[in-house]
Amino acid sequence: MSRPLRGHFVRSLLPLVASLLLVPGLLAACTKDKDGNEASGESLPDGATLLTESASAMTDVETVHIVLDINPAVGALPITRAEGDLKRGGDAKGAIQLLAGAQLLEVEFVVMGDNAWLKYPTGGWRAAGSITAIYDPSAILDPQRGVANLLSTSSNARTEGAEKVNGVDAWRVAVDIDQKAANMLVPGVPKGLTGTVWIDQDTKRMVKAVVNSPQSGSTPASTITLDMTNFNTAVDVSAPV
Amino acid sequence: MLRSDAAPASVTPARRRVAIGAGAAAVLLASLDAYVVVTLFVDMARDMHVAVNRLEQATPVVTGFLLGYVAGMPLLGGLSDKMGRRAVTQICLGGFLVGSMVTAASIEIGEYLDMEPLPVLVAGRVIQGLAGGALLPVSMALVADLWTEERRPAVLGTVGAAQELGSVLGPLYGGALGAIIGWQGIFWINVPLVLIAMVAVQAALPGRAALGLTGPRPKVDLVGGLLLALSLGLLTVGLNNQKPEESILPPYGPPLIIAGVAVLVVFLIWESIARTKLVDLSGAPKLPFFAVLIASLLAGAALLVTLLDIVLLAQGVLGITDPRESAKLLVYFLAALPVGAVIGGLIAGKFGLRGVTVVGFLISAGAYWLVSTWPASILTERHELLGLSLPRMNTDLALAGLGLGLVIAPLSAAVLRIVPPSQHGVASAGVVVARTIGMLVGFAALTGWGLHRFHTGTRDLKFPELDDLLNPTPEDLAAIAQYEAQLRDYLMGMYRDIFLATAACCLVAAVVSLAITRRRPAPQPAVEHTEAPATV
Repeated sequence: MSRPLRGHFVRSLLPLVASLLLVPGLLAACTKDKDGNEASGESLPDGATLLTESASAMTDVETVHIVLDINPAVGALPITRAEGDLKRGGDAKGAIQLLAGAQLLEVEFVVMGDNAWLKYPTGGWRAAGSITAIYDPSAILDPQRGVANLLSTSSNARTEGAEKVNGVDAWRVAVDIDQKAANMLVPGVPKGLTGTVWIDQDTKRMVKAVVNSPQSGSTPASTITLDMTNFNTAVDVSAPV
Repeated sequence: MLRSDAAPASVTPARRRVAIGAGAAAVLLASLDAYVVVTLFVDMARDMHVAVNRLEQATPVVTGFLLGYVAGMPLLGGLSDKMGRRAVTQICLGGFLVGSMVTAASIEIGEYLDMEPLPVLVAGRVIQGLAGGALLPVSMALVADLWTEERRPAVLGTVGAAQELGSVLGPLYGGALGAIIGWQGIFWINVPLVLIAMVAVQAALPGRAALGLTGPRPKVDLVGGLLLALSLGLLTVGLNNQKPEESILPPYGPPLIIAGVAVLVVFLIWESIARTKLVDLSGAPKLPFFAVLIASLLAGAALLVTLLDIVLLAQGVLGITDPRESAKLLVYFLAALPVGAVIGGLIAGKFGLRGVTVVGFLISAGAYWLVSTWPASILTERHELLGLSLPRMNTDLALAGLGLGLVIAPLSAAVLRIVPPSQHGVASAGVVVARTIGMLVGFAALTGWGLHRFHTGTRDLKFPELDDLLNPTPEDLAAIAQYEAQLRDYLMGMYRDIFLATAACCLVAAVVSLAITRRRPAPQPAVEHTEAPATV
């Protein structure tokens, strides 16, 4: 406001105008087309090749942090979220959220070899025969059952663009997803799955996947999102009791 | 910060009333949003991926706003002396607009930014609080600009009432409307409301020039404001335990709390030596002033603990999840607040500010003691009293609200009696700051303590096997029902403890209120005629 302005009226309007200007700016920022940084002109890498490379890259992953969101829950178990650190052998720790009626409950878990411990809302940690009755986190990094399998069984891959997700530059690839492969990760998903995977341009690891699960019978249409970060960073899993 | 010279003649009385109406409306809008989350808290937490057994993760939705509110008041509020009331009001409304939109769109923004929605929501709430908090002192300063000294207390009361009204209407408005349009809708509604308020403020508030405020601009105690905000930030984070099953305080809690207290001491030292102070107390008696602030602080803690813990108790113990139903449980408490405030205002002249305040706190302490004896079947319990059969829950809550309401007017009036007239606006805002700090710290501390007690108590309460929950046999169902009954008892025990502590807060407040002077010491000749014959 150091520059002299014409009249007090103009000057008095400034804050009003300034705050009004923020509104469309903010809205624009929120709705900005994610394809904004499309690699224009240059040809994108072939989708099918990317999937093969990625499936192979995923077999080298030793540890990873995952966030799996299922919105709304599908299948018999009302799981809406699983989050945690996984080791390749199946050791894992994290938390699962279940919808019980209208209430969201969180159950923490630790898996070490054949032992598993669960922490429910009350009662502290206790040994559980196996965690697989709720969810089997060891599936995710398993080459036969996990993400690598999901990628190598996907079809109709089309590379759509380049964008930054989970902190890395990635190729966005639209795919049709094999129901059997998806079921090993999220039990209860129906046929006719489509989705999008994001593949790290450097390491070729899959960093994110979104699967659209269609409505089928009593199963509602659902969006399943898997975010993978912190690849191969040390994970310490120890028995809680 | 405020000037005590007479109101400018260039502003007509009608224009003045419109101006303060617009200012009060803006204050109400911000205050509503402090309390609107009370009945929406459970829904918001679920959408933020916060499970009911981890609600401590969602407390920043409440504390973030309050922290912003307390920080915004002295910092942005003081700015209005430099930039003019209208300009700062518009900036605040603009900020409030942005904060509301960030809050409403937190899930979408989180998706866009590849992050969890909760930090986005909390950021939106902090922005809302910062901007909303500043509206109150700015409007109070406007009163000082526009009214002569003798008329000021009444008009300050109007602005204060708008702020109080938010606490009464917010939870009800959130519950009633939130059930229909969802919690996001509640924050989107702010967009048209704020835009209307901005137009009204632009038209109604006089600019700097019209007020003749062209002389040397008063200084703002930026350092004091920053120190206070920093101290509260440290205390809030230090008290917010994400693992209440392991300890009362988080591992990083003690150092942060010690640092927070240390900064608070620095703040107090600064206030005693600085030339520009947040509130200039020179010539005013310190002890009664601090008594008013501490009593306000404790009242704030009781208010927010009641609002949130009754909603959480309803959800956990009574199985009430619909925000409309939660709001209904609060109606008696909330309706009793203004009733008490009006009664308190009327009888303070006869019985003295101190007497009414002490009695009000004692009534609340008694009511919270009653609440702390509630059984899990409280919904159907009744008081049999002198041949009357009263629903126990509503009666106890109405009593608590009445007691807290009684102290509102006397505390606001007492502070005006204590400080010199030039400090009326700041001191009034100070009472609200103190109350907000009480809400913030009281809620954070009591929640952490209560949750820790709950987790310690239920350490051996075995949760049913998940398998049994999903495919229950008749025996499983019986075992699950038994578990749920035990869980309700433990939860009820936790809330009983929290309300017993609240009763203790009110008792302490009653004792502290004894220090509120009955007679104004050394009345200043210039303002003698403004005094009501309130002392007996």
